Amino acid sequence: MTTPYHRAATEPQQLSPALVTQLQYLFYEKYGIRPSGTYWITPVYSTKLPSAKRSIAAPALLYGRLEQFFLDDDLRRTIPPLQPQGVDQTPKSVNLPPTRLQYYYQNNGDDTIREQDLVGCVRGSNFVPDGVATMRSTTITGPVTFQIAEVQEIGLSKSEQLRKIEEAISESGDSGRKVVRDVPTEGEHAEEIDGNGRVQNGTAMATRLQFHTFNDAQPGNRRSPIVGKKFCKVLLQDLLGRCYWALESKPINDLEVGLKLGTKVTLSNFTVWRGVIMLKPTSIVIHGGGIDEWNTDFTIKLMCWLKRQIGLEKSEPPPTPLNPPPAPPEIIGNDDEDDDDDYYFDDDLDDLDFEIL
Amino acid sequence: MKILCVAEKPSIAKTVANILGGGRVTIRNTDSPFIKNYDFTYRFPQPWGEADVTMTSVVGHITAADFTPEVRQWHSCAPAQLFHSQVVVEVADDKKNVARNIKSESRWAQGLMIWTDCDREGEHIGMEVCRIAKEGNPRIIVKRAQFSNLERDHIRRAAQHPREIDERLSDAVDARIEIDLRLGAAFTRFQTLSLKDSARKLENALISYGSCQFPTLGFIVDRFKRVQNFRPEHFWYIKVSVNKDGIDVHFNWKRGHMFDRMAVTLLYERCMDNGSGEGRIVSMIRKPTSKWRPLPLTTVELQRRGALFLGMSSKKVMDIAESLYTKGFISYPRTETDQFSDSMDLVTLIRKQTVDNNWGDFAQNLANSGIRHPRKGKHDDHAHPPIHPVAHVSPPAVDLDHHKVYTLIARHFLACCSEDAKGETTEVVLDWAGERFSTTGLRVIERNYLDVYPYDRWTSSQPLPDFVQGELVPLKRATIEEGITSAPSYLTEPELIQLMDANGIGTDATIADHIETILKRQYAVKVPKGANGRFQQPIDIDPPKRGGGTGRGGAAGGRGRGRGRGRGRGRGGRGDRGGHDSEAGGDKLKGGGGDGQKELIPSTLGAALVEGYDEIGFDKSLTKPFLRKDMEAMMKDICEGRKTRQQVVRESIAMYEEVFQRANGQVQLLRQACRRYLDR
Repeated sequence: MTTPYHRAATEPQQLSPALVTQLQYLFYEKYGIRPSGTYWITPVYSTKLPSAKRSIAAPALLYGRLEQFFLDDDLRRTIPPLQPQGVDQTPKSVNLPPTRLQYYYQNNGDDTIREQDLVGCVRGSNFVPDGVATMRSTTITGPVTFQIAEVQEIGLSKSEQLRKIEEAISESGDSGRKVVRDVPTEGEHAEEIDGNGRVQNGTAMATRLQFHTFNDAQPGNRRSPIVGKKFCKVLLQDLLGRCYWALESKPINDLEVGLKLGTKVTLSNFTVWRGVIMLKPTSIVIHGGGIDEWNTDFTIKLMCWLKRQIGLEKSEPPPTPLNPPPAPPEIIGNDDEDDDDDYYFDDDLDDLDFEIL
Repeated sequence: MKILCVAEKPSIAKTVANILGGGRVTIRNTDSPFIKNYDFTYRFPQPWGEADVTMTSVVGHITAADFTPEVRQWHSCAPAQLFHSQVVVEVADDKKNVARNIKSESRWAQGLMIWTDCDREGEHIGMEVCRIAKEGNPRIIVKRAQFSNLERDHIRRAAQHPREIDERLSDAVDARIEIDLRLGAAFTRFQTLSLKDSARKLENALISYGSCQFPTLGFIVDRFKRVQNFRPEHFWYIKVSVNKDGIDVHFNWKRGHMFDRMAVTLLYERCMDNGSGEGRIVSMIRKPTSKWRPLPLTTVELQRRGALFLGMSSKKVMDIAESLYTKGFISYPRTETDQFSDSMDLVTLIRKQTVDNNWGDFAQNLANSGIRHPRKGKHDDHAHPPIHPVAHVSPPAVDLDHHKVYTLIARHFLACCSEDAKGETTEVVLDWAGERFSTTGLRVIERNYLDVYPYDRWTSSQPLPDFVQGELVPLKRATIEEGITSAPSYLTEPELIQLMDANGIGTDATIADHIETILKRQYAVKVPKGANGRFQQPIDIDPPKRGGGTGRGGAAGGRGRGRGRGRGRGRGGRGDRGGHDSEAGGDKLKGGGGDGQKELIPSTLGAALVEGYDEIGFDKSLTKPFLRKDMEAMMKDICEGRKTRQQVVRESIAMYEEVFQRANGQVQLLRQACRRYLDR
């Protein structure tokens, strides 16, 4: 077997523990994967694949990316002098009374909570157990209640999203009329992956981009989709303020950028994959509600965020993040680094020197 | 009985005279070196009957609108005053001899038949001729010939079935001329005078304004900024491939791709974990498909396709089409109609193409085996049929460029009359641990119209192996792939034409001229295609110099259609850009390097003006197409009798005056934008 790339990399070993903490925070910021000791990186790629499956995956994927995750150049360049904040302030779920299996809304019957920040309103609910980030996958029966802290559209490029917002804005200025800015071209679209044998029919090509009007001041829970909807990544916050990324493993109708932040949802019978919650229409109930102050100047904040993400606005003052201020990564995993019998360690890889972390 | 016939240009007069005169035509000179009078006899329908005919012509518009002399100078009045100053319409200085000829010829004639081109501008020129003729002979009876090509039978039929002249069309043109004059002059003076101190380059510059030019420029700047602001973004996706029957088949992820590595990684890992090394075929669906033959050719499509397929500038394509029409090879090239009427004898037209070396056989087969009536589009201008060939021509009767355009028109026409291309698509969907992947294949079964229309490409993909629903296929590879978005390209002329058309800027016939104008004004520059990202900033070139005396400014807003009808204001000259297509490319059908395939980059001045006006933030922006589109709609209202000329002029002027006042009040924003771009 060839030597994985990262064996040769010595730099990680020179990192100080403080830097490692920072790195973990940055990993979280950048990839949304919750760092937890050594485990969060190693399992992702050094999975124990049966040889049949290993042969179909590109070797670089199994080993190469691991190194890239770790040594990602621009990540290292941008390490700012910051410490993850608030990790210690977050109450550990273990400190709470044993979870009572009760359905959050049904049993409390308190509708006003929908408009409030959930964090701190501990009235009893289930929680996502500690340590999910270290587990490859686990199914949680729940029900668990969260509030939606952020929705990102990841099926469309950020430039595309920006363009749609800007178009909607300029159009609302011109008596609601739309300038046709794009025409179907014979060539391929900038972002199109070339499928083999795409069929394009004479006039059938003349499709116009669908577009939406929107209004920031629009009351109500939902705005019209302003960036379009393909595939969303959502930041969910539980009653303790812990944040989890969630992905649509099957499309969910109302989940889209523009959904009022602070919307309360209850999940049951859901899978958590390396700390990331997989959402399906059958496992989610969207209660609505929201937190008004999170939604002020939503579109402007969204545009700023999109621009910063793609580097259009570099020297922006300290990020005024989409709300809420992205909860600093709570390191859910505990320090059970000696959990040797973790089943997913590859025999070939488990002797790697990650203890340094 | 003596009848005077007047065509729009000398070449048409000559052709029509020869057809009606049956070759027995006497030629007389006139005061104008360009215009000849052709005498012959012809039998018109009653009440005219057998008549001595004089066929003559004008050279485009005879009269011109201008302000009275006291406000013609740059500083003679406040620019805003030009919205209401008196406008006089007079015979243009260089057209005096033309008018004299008509006046004297009409003196002895009982009837006048107008043979100008059948559209708005033509109707307007017809009315001008009519007024001048009535000065010479108030009792002259006026008829108008309705024709759309110069083919012999068609012209004879037109002479036998004259109609009345439509004053409403002419009124619409009058309204447009007046509005363009006022707007052009007011805004041009405003821009030129108020911006001259904001940058050294602008001290002596002429910063002309036209109500079509600015939205057109707006498109170029908009696209430029999008390229400028583009930042590449990484995306990831899962790709699987299988091998069956010795064929490698790649499947694409149904989710497309995602701009988030974590998401793709997790979904991939989940597949790896949950799935086996095999995928399950969910479905394999075969569907008949067809590639549709093109719609009948309109002016906009001719310009776009000419630019795209032949690599010529749209202006050049139009000039050539104009010349082919005048020589009688094609029908009138200014038309919005994209449907052939059922009564048209298409087979006869096709038979004329059977002699061609390249597509003669195709035409022969088509004529013998029966044609399929062309697809019908949604547009009909009720004046002209779609552009089609009326007589066959091949080199050396015409030069190479003419033949290229003719070839496009002829092939397009034959394609319209053929069957759609037929094929079959196959879509295979594969499921791997809950993630769906698909692949499609295309098999072309009958090429049909594609055989005569090599500009369209439609080819079979690699054949797919036979899959069975529910079948488990071992995956050969399943990988995460990474990609990066690429910048949009700068605007090309074919795209710009489509944008202008879609947004209702200019009429189909004026589009090429507007593009030409903004290039001439140095608001934008054409660069060779593939300049991707090479221009981080607008191109810095010197704007045109301000002329001495007349402060009339760029009144050429939506001036007629160019087409050599220049009203002799010194701006009529053909731009020095655009005419120099190097057609060196070896490929006869796709001349890559021509003007049509170049990209448009704004100049610093162009970008500054658009940005400045955008910052002013109008309700209806000058750089967006809406104002102009409204005006265009009002022209149509005049033509269809819903509004009068005076009403439209009043409303349009009021609309623009409001915008003008706002621009005037916020002129510092324009100045700042110019300083930003031009004084670096």
